[in-house]
Amino acid sequence: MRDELDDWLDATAALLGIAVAPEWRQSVRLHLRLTRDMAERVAEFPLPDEAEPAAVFRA
Amino acid sequence: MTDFAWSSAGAIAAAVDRGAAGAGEVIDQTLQRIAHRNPLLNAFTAVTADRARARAATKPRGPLAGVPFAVKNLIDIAGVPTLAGSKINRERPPANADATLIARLEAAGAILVGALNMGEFAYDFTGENSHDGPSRNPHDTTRMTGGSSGGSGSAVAGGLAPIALGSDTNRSIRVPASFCGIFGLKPTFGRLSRAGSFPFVASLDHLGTLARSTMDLALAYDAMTGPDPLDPACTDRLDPPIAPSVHRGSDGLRIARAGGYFRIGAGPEALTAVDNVARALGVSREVEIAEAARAREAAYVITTAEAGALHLHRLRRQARDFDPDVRDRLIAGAMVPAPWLVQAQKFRRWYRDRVLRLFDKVDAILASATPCIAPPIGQRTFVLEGQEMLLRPNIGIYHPADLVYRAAGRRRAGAARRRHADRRAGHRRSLARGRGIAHRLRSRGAWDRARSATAGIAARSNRTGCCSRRAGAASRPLCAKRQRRLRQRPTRAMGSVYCGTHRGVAPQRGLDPHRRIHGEPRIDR
Repeated sequence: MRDELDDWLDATAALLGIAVAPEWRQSVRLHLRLTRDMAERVAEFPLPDEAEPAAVFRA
Repeated sequence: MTDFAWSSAGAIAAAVDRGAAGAGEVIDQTLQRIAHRNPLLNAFTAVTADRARARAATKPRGPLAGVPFAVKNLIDIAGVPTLAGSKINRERPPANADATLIARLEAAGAILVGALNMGEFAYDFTGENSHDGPSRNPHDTTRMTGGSSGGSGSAVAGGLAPIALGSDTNRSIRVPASFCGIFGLKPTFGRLSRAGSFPFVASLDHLGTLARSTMDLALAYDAMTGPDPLDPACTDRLDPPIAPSVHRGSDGLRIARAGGYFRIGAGPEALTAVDNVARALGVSREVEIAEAARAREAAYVITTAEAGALHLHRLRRQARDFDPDVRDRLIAGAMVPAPWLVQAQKFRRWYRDRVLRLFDKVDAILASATPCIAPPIGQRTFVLEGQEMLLRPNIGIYHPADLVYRAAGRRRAGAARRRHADRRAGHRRSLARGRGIAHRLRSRGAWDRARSATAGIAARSNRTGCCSRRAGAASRPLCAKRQRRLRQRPTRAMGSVYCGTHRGVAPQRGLDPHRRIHGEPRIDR
């Protein structure tokens, strides 16, 4: 059954110009799910708008 | 004729320097060993025999005179294509110059003997490679070397070279060092130039060294460190050499064991060995690194997104030429929405600040480098925290400290089998020359108590980083007589050590050793 992972995969593959072969799809989808789950937990961590990213540019 | 197969880099250089051996003799021996053993170990993908012999004929001088070394094949060697473990890069023209670190090692007298196998584009913890075949663990050739610097681990542990260069983004030096039973050093970010190496994750990539002793790590580090205008991330600082201070050991260091996340998921061998080593060092303190699990997840997001972006044009044109396991992860990485990546980098800053505060209270933190001993080649899943999980993305679960840009050592691994007993005896003597915390462990017999299972630690905290090793942990208790005998043996250990030695303190005389540190690593990217 299709879900948002399939929509994400299809839309982004088309946008980026990556041809995902049918036999790769399940594996790519698995990695998308892993990445999404991890990213969501990182995103849940409260940070202020002023939080600096790790990379800092100095004069 | 002396057999240099298991000699340290320092011993080889000393022999060449005093005329007891010629560089040509050392290189001839090395090339013969490679020809004999590499068909089994599959550590090398290219052997630069002509270049090595020509270089030896110049009678090189220096602190690494006549010392053979090899490099992971993502590091440029003039005249050799830089494969980065891939099929795709075989179409690239040969590199037109050596990488900075090769040039610096050769300026110190070392002699390059070849390029080493690795996981494709460094996105790997196993040491397997679908194009070149897996590098094999010298302790048990049915088992993984760990990756992605798998050939580096195999070459050093297999006696094919005393020093090898690798790269470490999320543990790619420390995992193979652990599984192959040697030392590895991932220096603080920006300490060693990455110029002339194929990238993976620009904000997390490090080059470093694998060796059979901490002194050899120090000698190689001293030869390679220094500013490099070709790498904008490389520090401008010039520091005094560290090798002369390696013998100072760990006395006075405030050492703690990592608890919480760093013990969850660790197998019994890893836990036993870390406990044994902590006991041997008299370490009772435990620190918990807050939000370590989330840090690992941030690192995962950063890694997959940056790597996916790097390879996007290849994924468009040549997706079928990738190792399938790598390809599918890269495709998913290229699809990561920007807000996730930005949030991960912001969290990374927050996490880094929190971890640095810990180093106001401790100087070194002990942790297992891997949760298990080296798995069999081809294994795709393993059990972690009672759940079957994919092996490739999860062997390196203990890498949250990497987000801190801090130096870390590796551990020694899975001492799986008792094959090659004679070689291992020599290997053990070599390993026993480790310094620092390794010294202290040795005197207390920690390695031997931990022997045959997994993990201990041995670490040395110095200005460049720390070194650690892991041991095989005891699967059964030893009798008192055996324990007494073992306590008299040299120490081996394993695990990772994260040190607090790189705070914003300029090198000064008279300070506690781990306070004689350089400044904060540059992260202006």
